[in-house]
Amino acid sequence: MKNINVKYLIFVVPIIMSIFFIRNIYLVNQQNMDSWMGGGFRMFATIDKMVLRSPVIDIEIENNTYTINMRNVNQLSEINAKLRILPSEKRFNEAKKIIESLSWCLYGDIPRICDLYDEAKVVALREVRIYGVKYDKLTKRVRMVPVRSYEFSN
Amino acid sequence: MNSVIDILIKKIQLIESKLSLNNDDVVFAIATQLLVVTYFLFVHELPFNAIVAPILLLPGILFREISTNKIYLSCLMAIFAFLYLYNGLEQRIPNHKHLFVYVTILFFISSFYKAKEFVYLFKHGSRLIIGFVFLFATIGKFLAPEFLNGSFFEFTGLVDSRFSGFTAIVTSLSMSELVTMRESFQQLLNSNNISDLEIQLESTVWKENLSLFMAYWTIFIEGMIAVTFIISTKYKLSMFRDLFLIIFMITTYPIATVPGFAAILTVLAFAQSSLHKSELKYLSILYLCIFVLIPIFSFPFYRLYSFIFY
Repeated sequence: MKNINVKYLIFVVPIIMSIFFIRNIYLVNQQNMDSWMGGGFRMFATIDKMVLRSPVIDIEIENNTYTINMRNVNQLSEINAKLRILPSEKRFNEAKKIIESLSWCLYGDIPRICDLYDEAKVVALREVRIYGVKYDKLTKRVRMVPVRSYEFSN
Repeated sequence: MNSVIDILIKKIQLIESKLSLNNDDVVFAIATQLLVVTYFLFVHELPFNAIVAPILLLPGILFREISTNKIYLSCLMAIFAFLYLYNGLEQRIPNHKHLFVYVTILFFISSFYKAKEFVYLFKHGSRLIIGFVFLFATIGKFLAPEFLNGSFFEFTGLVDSRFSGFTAIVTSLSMSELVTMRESFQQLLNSNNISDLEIQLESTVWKENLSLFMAYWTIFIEGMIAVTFIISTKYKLSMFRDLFLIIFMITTYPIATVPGFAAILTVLAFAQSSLHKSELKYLSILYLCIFVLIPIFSFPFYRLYSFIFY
């Protein structure tokens, strides 16, 4: 390393930083990644960020479809965070495996993870939608709009 | 007045000689130790973090021979590059943690050199890293329409708890109104029928105008930091780089407190500060003081303000 001219070496880190910045731009535009993430240094610029995103799933139990906000299921916190950071096809499929492997029960009309000894139902994940914040400057109203959704065929 | 200045200069000289800030090896050693302290304070992602972090980091904090050691720096670089750069999208890794790794890479490369080359590398390298961070941050602002029209600061000021104290002080909105808005927003985020709901925020014309001012002020100050830190030190404009950086720290840290970013930015600022030709290393001492005072930025200023004025 000592043979390399230091005048060039000071650019090593800025080059690495630039690669991550370009990757950030690409992933934000192509895969709806949270622009605050991934080392792009685009923090404190956009309202849409992973901490303000909500992944919502449609699951099918006994031919009925139920909509659940993943924020309310503690057992899904890890995949919930991953989907909010980067909602890629790979992560949607990962979410399907995790969600269908959990034991779901119906308590009244509300599906949730089974209490001990309760009999689990067969669950199929039908759709995942990632919602992000939309703020209307004129009306001062805030609503959640889909950032990306993924439908499973079976 | 002159005697006060004389006393101040003598004090600075005393600190300078005690810390040996005229010796570049010592400056580098202090910078590496501060980097390890920063890791120690803000790293939570290591496996068995409560045990592994002290074992890995305390030796570097306590002994300069370890913090500047090539093998030690290469271990830090490998571990945290894997955690923060390679695995950076697996969990919530904020940008300043990328910065931890970039600084480690720079210090690792610098440790291979001696004398002038070593000084050039770690000081100018630190200067450029600061410049590029703010360059990307400024470009990011231009890529976000909601930032340019003031929506970002208006929305964030109303629902982000970090901004609540500031919003309550500078606008006619009360803290309880802000808490109510934040709670409604949290309910919206957690709702199952999320697409059917919306909430109404209460803003004011003054808040709107202030948000727009804050947006353009941020672009100005971040842009100026980017320019003054990236251009060569032979240009006169670069002499003002520390001034812009200190203004940024003073105007930003108490409002949008991100202690991890503040700490690593101060480490970089300290590392490059002695590039100035001044005989007194007052900037280096100032950055050391800021590093020590970073926890103060998390102080609930609003409560103090309410206590005094209400």
